[in-house]
Amino acid sequence: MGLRRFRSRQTDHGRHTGTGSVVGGASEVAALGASTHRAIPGATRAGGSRRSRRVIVAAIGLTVLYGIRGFANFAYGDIATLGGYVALVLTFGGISLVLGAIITFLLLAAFGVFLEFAIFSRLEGRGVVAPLVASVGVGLIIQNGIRAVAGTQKWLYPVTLGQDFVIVPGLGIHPIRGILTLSVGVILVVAAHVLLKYTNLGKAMRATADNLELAKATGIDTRRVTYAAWAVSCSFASIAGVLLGLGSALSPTVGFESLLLIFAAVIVGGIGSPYGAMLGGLLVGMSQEMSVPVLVWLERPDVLGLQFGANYKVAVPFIILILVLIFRPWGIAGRKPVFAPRAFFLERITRSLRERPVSSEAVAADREAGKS
Amino acid sequence: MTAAAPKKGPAVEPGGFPLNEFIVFSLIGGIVVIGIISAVIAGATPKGILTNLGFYVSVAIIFSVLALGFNLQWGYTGLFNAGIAGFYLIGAYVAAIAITSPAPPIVVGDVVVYPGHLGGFSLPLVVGVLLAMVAAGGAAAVVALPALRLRADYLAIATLALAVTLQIVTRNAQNITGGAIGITSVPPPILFQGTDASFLNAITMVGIGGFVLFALLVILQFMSESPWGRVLRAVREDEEATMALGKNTFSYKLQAFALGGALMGLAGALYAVTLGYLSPESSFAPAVTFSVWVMVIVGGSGNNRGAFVGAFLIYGMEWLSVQVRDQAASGLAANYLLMSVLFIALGVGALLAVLAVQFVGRRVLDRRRAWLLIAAILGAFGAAPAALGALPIGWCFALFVLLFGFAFVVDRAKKSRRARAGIYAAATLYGVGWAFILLQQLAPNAVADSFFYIRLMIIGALLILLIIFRPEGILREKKRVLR
Repeated sequence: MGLRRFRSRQTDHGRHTGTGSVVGGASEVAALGASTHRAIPGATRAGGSRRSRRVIVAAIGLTVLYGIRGFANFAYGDIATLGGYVALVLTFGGISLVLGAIITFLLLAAFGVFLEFAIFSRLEGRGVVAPLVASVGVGLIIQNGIRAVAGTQKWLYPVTLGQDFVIVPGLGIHPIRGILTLSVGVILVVAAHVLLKYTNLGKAMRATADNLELAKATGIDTRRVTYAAWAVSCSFASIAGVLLGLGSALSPTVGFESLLLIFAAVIVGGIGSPYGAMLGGLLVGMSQEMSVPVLVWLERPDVLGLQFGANYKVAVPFIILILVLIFRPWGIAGRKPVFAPRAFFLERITRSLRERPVSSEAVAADREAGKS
Repeated sequence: MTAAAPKKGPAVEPGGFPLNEFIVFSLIGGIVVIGIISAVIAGATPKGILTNLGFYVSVAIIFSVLALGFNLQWGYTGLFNAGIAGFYLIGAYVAAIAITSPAPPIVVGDVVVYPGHLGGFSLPLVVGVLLAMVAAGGAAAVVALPALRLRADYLAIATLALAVTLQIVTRNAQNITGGAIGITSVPPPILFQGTDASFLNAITMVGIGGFVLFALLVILQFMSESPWGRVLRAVREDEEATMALGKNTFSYKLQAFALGGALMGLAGALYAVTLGYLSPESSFAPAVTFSVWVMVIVGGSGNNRGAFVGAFLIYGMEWLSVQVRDQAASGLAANYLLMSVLFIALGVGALLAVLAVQFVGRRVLDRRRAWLLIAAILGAFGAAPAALGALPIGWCFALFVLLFGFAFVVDRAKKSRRARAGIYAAATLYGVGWAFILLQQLAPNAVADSFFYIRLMIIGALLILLIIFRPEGILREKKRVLR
């Protein structure tokens, strides 16, 4: 049932791009079906929040690791994919998807600890680029290992997907894609909040992310914290992978394609700040989906005549990323770090943009305030 | 950064035998030899083989140019670019749009068969290449502008984002780029007619590419040894100290990044001309970026020679895997029986040669008589398959010559490090050859396809292993200004 549904959508989409392979943002479009193309505002918003949830779960995991371990984990998307596939294999073994996801959660946590133990602990103190390169290697191995073992075709979880509950015509809620993923996302976000706020480990994690040296000096076992961060990060990735698989279908690149969005969410939120990541994920996911009506408007021949405008929404995280890097590289919730002290013309421009031109009244008011 | 990680590996003594160079170059030679042998056995004509080899060389040159660009950015300046594929794509598309002739959309009935693409300006090749360099360099500067003042990973994320976004935009902006079908019939530099066209074309591309690569190597060497290059290395080693010396490090970083981007654009333009068509799917995938990283790290970052050696080595792997796939797919298993007989004979013969050298060398003290005896043993061994009719006589003679040479090397191995390296290289080649034969004989198409994925996994494993154990690469930077 689910498979048939998916196929029909895929062919429907394939006609649009003129290619059989549905890659990139296209898979998301396939998942959301024709509704995105028609750009019914309600459906778009529902898609946006759904998209955001997956991004939020993944972004929390990534930002925890980024903050504590201090490097951009490019393998993160592929680790999420791996989680999705592990859950898939478990469901083929006759385990229900919920139990399978829980087992995957634990397995991937162990996998994360293994990665730190085998690879990344050797690269400590070697700057930010060395572990980044190694993480790309890990990602390549995972992604192509999945391709070699499971093939490049798409896989669907053997769960009955069911029909949308139609609330109003054009806006429905899907029992699994809408309600289940929402609840799982909310549960994980709350769990992350509880972990970080109310447990000793969470406090140690936040302290380590804040200032590694200071945390060490205070007596925090930063090695244990690092392992915990890997475990949390990879297990969150696994759940994000399962959600991705439920949202559309599992393919070897499904995680890598979301990586950009996750990074944008992490940087918008401020690296190392889980709450920032929640906010950033919401912001990036929503703005990506909300950009669709604009892009569809641009499609009109009298405006710009853009072709397949809705597919350009994948450019939105990139634009957000660049804007954030220009104006607020430390993100929403991050603290302003010390950058290169020399001001150059771009910084001058941004500064002058940020400071509003001083009107004579304001100067007068200032003077008044100074006198009194 | 990583390029300047602490050195404690075995130092190459000055004037000593460059073992690493020897291994690397013999591996490249081995790739070429195996490629030729497999093509011979698959029944290719000499011209076909040369065309194929020319393709290998010209694409490897393109990757060398990419690697040189990345080396300028990372190896010299320490700026990590994760979006090489994006600048490569810009260069390729700008050049292709500039130099192709107009391509109107093809519509059959109601279906758009080919969406057409922007341009058709039919500009000369040189103008197209220059435009490509300017466009890619400009794009690099624009992306780098906000990210350069931040930590290295911001730059990596921003450039990766650019590359991924560009690939998707290229796939969708049909009226500009031709969409998923891409741009076809990019004109070659010289238009040849007739049956030899592809051969002559390959040779032209090798010539042009070789000239470009040579010129680039010379120019980059001068640049890296100039005061400008010294500042770049100073920025890599310690940016704040360089700033304290009164250098505008941001401007230097921007220049290096834009120049590297322009080189990637040049590579893209060469690619468009070499292949004659462009499509956004696999040629500009992120895997290209990662391959270039491996090339530069294998070769040794901060080392122009290493960058192009790495490109020939790593692209050689890919080229061989394409050969395996194509020849396995075309079902030439029968020819490979011959190949495997030859390889078994080679293996047994090598063993025999080692034994003969050991025993004869120890028992017969007269050198001349000893060598005559060894030659007789190996000759008898070489003649056996010819007598049995398992191998043609010419192959048997080649076998004998190879084995005799091997015996000679084995004899020298006790004293000479070079000879020992030769034996290692021969053993490696032999193993690779066997893997190749087994794959071609045993692999059904699906396995041959997964060979591609395994290649990418090997690249991943190489990245991890190199970055952990040998971040300075196999051929390391010769001259250290700041150490």
